[in-house]
Amino acid sequence: MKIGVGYRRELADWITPNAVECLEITAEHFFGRGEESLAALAEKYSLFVHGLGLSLGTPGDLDVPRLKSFARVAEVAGAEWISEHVAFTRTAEVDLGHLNPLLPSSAMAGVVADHARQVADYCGRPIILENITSHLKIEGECSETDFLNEICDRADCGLLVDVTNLFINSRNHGFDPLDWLNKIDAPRITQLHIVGYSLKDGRYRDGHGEPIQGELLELAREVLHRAPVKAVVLERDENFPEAAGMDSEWEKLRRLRDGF
Amino acid sequence: MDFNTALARLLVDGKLRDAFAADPAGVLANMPFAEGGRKALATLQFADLEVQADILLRKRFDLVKRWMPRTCDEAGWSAFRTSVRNHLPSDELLDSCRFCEFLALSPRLDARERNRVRFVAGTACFSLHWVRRSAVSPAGLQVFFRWRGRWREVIFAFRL
Repeated sequence: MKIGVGYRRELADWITPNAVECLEITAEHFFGRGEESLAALAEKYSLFVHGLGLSLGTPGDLDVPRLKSFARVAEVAGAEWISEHVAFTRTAEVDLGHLNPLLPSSAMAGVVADHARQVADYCGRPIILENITSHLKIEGECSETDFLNEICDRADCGLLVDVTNLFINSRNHGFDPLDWLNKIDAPRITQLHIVGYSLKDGRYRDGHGEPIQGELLELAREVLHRAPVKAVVLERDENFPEAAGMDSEWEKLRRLRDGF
Repeated sequence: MDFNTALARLLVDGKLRDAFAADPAGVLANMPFAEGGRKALATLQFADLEVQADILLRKRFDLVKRWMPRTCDEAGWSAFRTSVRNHLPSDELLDSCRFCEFLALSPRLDARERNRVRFVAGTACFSLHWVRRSAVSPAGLQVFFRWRGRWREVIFAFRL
């Protein structure tokens, strides 16, 4: 199992001298730019390409220009695998610019699975799909775990479990994350995301700007007990710490990995 | 209308959310659902919708901040939220222009940033502004010009 970080310019100086084993590239950060630096990263690290805006849950055709840009980034990066979210970011009327929850249903599972297959085929690489966090509790035809399992079955793809998203949803919506893990198809879990949560006005939030808390590491261990995870990625986007702070975060991941 | 479209409308339209808070069944009755989803939307909590909508607005604020960092720092998130809560997302320049209109004569609005946003969002080839001394910049002439789709800005500072 590899451990790595989501590549951000703010972390570039920290990443270089450290023994990072893999990097997750946010595809949109390299749309139409930065190919040389991306190719340079690909020479040193194992890369995964992560998308934010393919909007797999929007019925109809995928956004072709965006898909082409995504595929180009995956190609330059030589991505081992690519990933996207089980979510929608746009409708025919509006681009929301952020991940939003879908109505868990068999019909929607078909939409997401078809799109996931199309993206994987177009990019020529395996795709894995990520659970999102949302403050909205959507009551659909089925549970979130059944929904995710059906999507992964129909697309024959892996799952990226964002441990922080799972933890936050469990606290905000009042369910047991271990029960969630027991119901998810564990052999599909390929990668984990983890970063600290924040707590404001009684709500747990996914700000991507806090050190990893102990509860999250415990939950990550539970996933690792159950699933053949190939990579764990620290997904820090805000409030970047100094090198010592990143070293501390890295040590948490290293201990997590070494425990298995 | 599908679930995504209805949810997106609720998330981007502050007035619609207010109406939903007052009468959820009435709002949903006016949405022509072609498939399931009405029941799921009917159970949404207004407070949850507001928090989720704020997350979307925060993304817009971050984009506007690239154009107007000083104004955003001075005026703050809540002023921006009020300025765009009832406006659908478009692009960061339009949101920036709306924020300028909202702040209008407020001292928290940085004139240099306002001039820049208005010029870039517009179509003029040339624009000239006298800008007063601020806490971080001297007085001077702020000049914008556009040529073949590209724009440039020059400031002639007067250190009096």
